[in-house]
Amino acid sequence: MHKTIEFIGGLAVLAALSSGGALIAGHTGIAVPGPVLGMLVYTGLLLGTTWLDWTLGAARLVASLIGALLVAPLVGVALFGDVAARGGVRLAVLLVVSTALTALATAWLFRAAGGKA
Amino acid sequence: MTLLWSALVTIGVPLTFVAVRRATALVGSPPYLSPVLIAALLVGAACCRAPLDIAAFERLAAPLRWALGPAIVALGAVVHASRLQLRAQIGALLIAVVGGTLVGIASAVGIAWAFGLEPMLRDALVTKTVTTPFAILIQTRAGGPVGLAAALAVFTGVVGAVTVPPLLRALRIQGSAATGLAIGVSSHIVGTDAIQRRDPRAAAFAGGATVLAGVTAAVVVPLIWQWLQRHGG
Repeated sequence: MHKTIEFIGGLAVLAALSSGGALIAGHTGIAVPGPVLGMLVYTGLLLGTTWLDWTLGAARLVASLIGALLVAPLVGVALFGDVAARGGVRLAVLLVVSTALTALATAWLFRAAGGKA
Repeated sequence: MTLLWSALVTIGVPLTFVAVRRATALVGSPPYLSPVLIAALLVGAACCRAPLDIAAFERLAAPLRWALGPAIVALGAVVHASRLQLRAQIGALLIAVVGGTLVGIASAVGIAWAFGLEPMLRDALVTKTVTTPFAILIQTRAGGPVGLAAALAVFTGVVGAVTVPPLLRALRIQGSAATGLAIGVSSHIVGTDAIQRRDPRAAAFAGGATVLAGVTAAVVVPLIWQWLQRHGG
């Protein structure tokens, strides 16, 4: 019972931080999406204090199931199927080349900045 | 009736995802069998069979869209789990993640311009280098093509998960930190999930890098998007 209440409380904290972030973003006009602001606050509190450690169980479960929430927006790609099809081979080449460049730049910058393997 | 359909979508879509994820786990969860992608194809096919067009489906799926906000906040737990690895080399790590993300955005936009891709595709490609939940959030906020951007982010993850590890090996780029960061920034959640089974230490770096790259993009992309709207034609 205690675990269930803790879990529901954890979900409430996540929802409150998301909504709070959205409110701040809306009122201040910051371009950063509200839930990202909420995530930054949550990460800061987790790293700097132990106040919200009890929410970690709920957060880990939600994070592990985040894929389930990506399905619905992805279904919307059907509305743009013709646009993607017109991109064709050029789009495929772009995805491969840009992804390779991103990975190599990240690894190179890490080494150049003195990072250790 | 609308309430019934909305309840069906809100419950049915996550259940479809969980079922697909279990099915792909039976064959070793290869990166090219993305559960998100397969579940989306199944749900799309179901929409075609049901008296429901995609636009109506998107309206009915509003509760799932809302739930993405708290789920993004929950990603703070991923950074928390990787904190020991991240703290040890925070300076080099931030330079690599921010720089890598900027290269990813610039290369996608630059190549799209060079190839003469149409404006809607260029807009969607701006977020291809960040993990799908951030891409959806950023595009929704900017009024961009959300579905197309989500699909490109997933495809990018699949392409990266399949091609980046052999590329790094071929160029003799080794070590869990460099490999994990490169995969996290370029291939986000899909790549992180794929490397988890081979190198858990690299996966800890990749998970943290995925979230940090998303935050970087959330700050930078709206500015680029506004610029594209002014100059995109």
